[in-house]
Amino acid sequence: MSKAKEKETQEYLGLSHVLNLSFNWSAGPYLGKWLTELRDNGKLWASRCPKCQRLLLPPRIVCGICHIRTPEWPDWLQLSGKGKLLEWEKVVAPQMNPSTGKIEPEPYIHGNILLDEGVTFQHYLEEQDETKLKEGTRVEVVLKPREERQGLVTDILYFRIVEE
Amino acid sequence: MSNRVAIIGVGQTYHASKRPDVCITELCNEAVRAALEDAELTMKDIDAVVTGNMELFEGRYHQDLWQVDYIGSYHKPGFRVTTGGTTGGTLACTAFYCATSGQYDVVMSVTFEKQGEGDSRAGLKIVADPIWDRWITTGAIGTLARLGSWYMKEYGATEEHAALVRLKADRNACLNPHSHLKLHLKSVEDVLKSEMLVPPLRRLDMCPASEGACAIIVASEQKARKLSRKPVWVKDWVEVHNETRYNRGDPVSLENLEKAATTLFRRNGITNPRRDISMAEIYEPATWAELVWFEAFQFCQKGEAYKLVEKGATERDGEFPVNPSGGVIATNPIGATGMIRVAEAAMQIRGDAGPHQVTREVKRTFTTAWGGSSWTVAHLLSKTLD
Repeated sequence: MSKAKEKETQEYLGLSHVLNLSFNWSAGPYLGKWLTELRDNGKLWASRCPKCQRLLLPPRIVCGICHIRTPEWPDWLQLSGKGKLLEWEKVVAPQMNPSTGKIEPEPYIHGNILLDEGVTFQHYLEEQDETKLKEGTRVEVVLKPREERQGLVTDILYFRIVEE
Repeated sequence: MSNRVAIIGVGQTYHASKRPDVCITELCNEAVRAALEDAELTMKDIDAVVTGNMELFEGRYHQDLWQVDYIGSYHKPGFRVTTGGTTGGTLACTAFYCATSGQYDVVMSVTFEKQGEGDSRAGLKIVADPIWDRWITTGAIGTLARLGSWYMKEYGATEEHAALVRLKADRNACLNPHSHLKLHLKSVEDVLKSEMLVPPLRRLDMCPASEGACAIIVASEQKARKLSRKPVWVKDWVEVHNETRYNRGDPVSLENLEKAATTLFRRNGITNPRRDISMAEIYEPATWAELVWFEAFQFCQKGEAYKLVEKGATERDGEFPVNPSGGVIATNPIGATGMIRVAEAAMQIRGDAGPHQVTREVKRTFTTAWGGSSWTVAHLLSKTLD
């Protein structure tokens, strides 16, 4: 083979690599308390900015807009876990769960819920038939059984339609 | 602004989903050489080099160290900047800041992404907060699908309108020698038959994952006049950050985009954006984003963008061209994407964009970058220093 020809047909090499590293992220005092309350007592909470009065879910130590400290637990508002659906998306193409690296079974429906206390929360919906969903549909939170809860936001299984 | 600066050189690589012919740093070198050639300069003329890309995608770290030989930063000052999806837009601002500061006269800014070397969908999702958001978000495609369903419900647009945006992008991309996807789509049906990801968002509504790099050279007014025959003046720029968003109160999150446009227009006496600006190169990661954000940037009334698209107003030869390069829907090397908007706008102002040059005279351009939590960067470039 001529050198010119050889150059033209050069094989481009690459190195394949899978990185497997361990991490341990601190949840911090506010999110940590929120997750502990969810795991141990099945309760949902939101903190309130003392200046602008809006609810923060999950609670964080500062209000990002006012930039002042928010009160610590137990000076939080306990949430009913009930609310209405604002909008939702049906994911029909395979998606990787970034926490597990695994492909999520699809389709699944993801919703944005306005809780009765006036703060939004996004999570999965139990209902898989989107024709049963409309803006304003009443929904409520469903938790995993106590013994299966790990202190993760997925201790919440999903929101389900409240039959009224 | 105290000191005025100009873009005096732009360079891009060609883009593809895979560029196995070069490694990351060689890809950057390709853009650097193109920018130097465009400016008719050598590295001796460059005082400082700034660089950046999106983290996580390639699984490579401290890229600025490995880039030194290839981007010419040997014994030159500079630093790395990374701001997620807005990185390319921010890197343009970084060069502007360095040159206006008076510390350096001529600054080169280099951006790249080589998405095919990693898993960019995973990279995007891993940006989310690991303790809360990663578990329960649908990522960029969910956000962009929501734009579509909201827009249709709110204003009566249809999926055909998104398809028209895609057809325009493809027509333009087919003329742009640097663009990635050149699909030669013929009809709305060609777009509507593509795979559904999250309704109403289809694969062809979404930007691709590309490999490519972009560089620009920015100079102080005095140096720009001395070194360049075709300086493009930087009128103004802005970066807008919002509160870190764990929960979305607003389904479409237009606050940052609106604030970016409002700030630039107010500071520069722009009262009728579509009249006072000649064209836009905006960061539209999906067809629906182009429609909704065109309105957020105040180029028309709410609910009017899809009607303008129907009339062809945003075509390359239209009244107000939007993304004559083919845009992000055709080419998306994420870390470079925001800077490509600026480079393309500069070429349009100079009138030497080539086959995809717009037909009207370009006096002033509006460019943007967009990223996670709807962070927005915007720039105004001008042909003259008025």
